[in-house]
Amino acid sequence: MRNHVREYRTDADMSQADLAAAVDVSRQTINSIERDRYDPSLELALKLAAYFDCLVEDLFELEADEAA
Amino acid sequence: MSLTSTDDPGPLAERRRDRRLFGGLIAAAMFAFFTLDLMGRPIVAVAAYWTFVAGAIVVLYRSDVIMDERDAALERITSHRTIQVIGGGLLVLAPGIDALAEANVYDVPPLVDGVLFGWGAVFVVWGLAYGVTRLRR
Repeated sequence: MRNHVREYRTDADMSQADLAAAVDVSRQTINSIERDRYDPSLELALKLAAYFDCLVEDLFELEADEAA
Repeated sequence: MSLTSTDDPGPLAERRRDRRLFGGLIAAAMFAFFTLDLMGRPIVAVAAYWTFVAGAIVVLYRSDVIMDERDAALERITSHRTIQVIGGGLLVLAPGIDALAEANVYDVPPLVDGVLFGWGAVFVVWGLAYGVTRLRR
């Protein structure tokens, strides 16, 4: 799964720590998501989408080989 | 949008504080145990150890921020790998060592017996925990 969390975060001029505090996770978790090393839970994905006022699909997308 | 108010330390600071408190209590438990034990006070050593460990457990369960979902996921993956390693070791070593001992080829040291017994006990606990978890989900 790929994501665009870093783009949304930098567009909002926020640090990883700011975003982490906004969605109640650690800064390391945001860092891992941005580096595609950790796929967040559905709950966290929804929180991030709500925070950036976008759809989950705008933030996260399946790789070509992951799509059904 | 204000992320944190001025008098609220914020979840990240709170998390850091709770993690330090947890780690500090575990370190204090170890230090107290070994120091008092070396001083010839084994009962006091254990009492101090349990007290600090109980404090650490209270911090762990009362904190909403000490672990987030990634920590929980890491714990799940690590536990799974540990069970795989122990399970693999048990499957291969237990019958092999038993056969060697029966054939008088290898005299199994009590330590190895103890380790294999411990690994077996881990699997009994794992099986019980799995059964209970499966029933409740």
